[in-house]
Amino acid sequence: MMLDVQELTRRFGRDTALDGVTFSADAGERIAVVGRNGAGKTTLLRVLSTFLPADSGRASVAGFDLFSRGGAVRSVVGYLPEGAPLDPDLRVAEYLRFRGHLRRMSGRHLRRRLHDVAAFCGLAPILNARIRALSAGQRHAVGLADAILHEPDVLLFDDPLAAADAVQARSFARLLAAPEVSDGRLVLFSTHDAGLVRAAATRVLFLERGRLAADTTNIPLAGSLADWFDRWSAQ
Amino acid sequence: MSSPALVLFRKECRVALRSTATWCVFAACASLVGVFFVFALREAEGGPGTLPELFCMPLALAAPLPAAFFTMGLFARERHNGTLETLLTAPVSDAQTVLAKFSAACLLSLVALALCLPVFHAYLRFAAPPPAWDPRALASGWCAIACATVLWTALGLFFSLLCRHESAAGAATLIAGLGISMPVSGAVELPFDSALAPYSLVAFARGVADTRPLFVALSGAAFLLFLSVRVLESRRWLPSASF
Repeated sequence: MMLDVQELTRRFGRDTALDGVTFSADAGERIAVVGRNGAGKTTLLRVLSTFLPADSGRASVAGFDLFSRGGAVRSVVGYLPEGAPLDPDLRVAEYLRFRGHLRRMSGRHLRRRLHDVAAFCGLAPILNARIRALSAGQRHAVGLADAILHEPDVLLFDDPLAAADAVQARSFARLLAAPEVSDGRLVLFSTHDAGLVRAAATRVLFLERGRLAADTTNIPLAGSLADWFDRWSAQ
Repeated sequence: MSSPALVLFRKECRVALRSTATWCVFAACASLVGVFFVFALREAEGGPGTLPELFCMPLALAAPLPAAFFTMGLFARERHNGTLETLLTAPVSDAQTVLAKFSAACLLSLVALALCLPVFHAYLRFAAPPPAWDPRALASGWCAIACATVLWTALGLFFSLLCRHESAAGAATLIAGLGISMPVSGAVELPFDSALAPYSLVAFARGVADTRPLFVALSGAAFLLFLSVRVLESRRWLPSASF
């Protein structure tokens, strides 16, 4: 089992962002986390990435307990937060090298991976460009490269299409489903884009007010996310 | 393969040294010390102050400036860029993050203080007749001021964690640093006031090695670093808007 989440609860003051969320997932799955704004999607990904602690519940990632082995979890997780935040003062190659060193990647292995992910994410022409000069789509590609650089077991993407146009959205869906990203890994991504769910997900988790309202592999072939939400809410 | 803390330390130093603003701060600090050193020399003409003592007074007054500049963006900028989230989900502990950033800012602040020494050297070169002075007194005074700088750096890092904007963090560090080191006489007297006052630090350049300022500065820095780690941990419990 790559991911095992049991009764995960997280509160912010009086607001309950996650309310007893329970699910498990295996390697090879691509899970879309969907729900209305404020449903708890970002909080779930932040808890699973160890950025936020939970108030109660248990979770393990690749066999490591999320709360007692946070350091080990971080080394097997690749996380791309919403908006792909990057250090604007660095160049692309320099940033990726810094992130690789931070994850204890060695020189030769890091160079090889840097070459591979740059080719895969289309970064080769902009490796020497300053991050502050990149477009939103290019920044996003750098964020994706950073997340997969250390070949993690679990990939977490928080609303990866937040600032993407139609072409970038299609290209990202293709990247997400590519064997380089998803083979032997668990991919968990939150999104508001029905097209991305249809193109890349093998399973959908629907969150409503912090609760897991639906967990299905029957992905509707038509309709918008709003239609799906109405259907799942009524069940 | 390097430890994540060392990687973070090197990155902070590299980014800072690449910035024009850093070199401007080095130059501004040396200029400020130079100007006030000249004033001090004129004021003390024929007076009792020794040369290292007259040089260490403006150095002690200028010490909070580089510390405030090099620490103000450490965490506030990460929060502004949103990169705190990627940093705190990398396999590096909160304590390592705080220590790496503190060490980098501390090193840069000490470099700023070291770059003020050529001002003293320039005076010796052009003074006629060449004045007599004791290098050990200058070294002793500089080390005492360096210890105080370690405290100002820890204070700046702490404010950078608390403030959302780096300018606010820098201003808070300067106000707190100058407020602690230059208490208004007759006002509320804190136990560490006199220990961290510039005249106490400058006493080292007179050959008076009082360990109290060093103890206050270094233990205060250690306490502030401990608080900073705790603040960073506690930030995870606040609503996402706080990041």
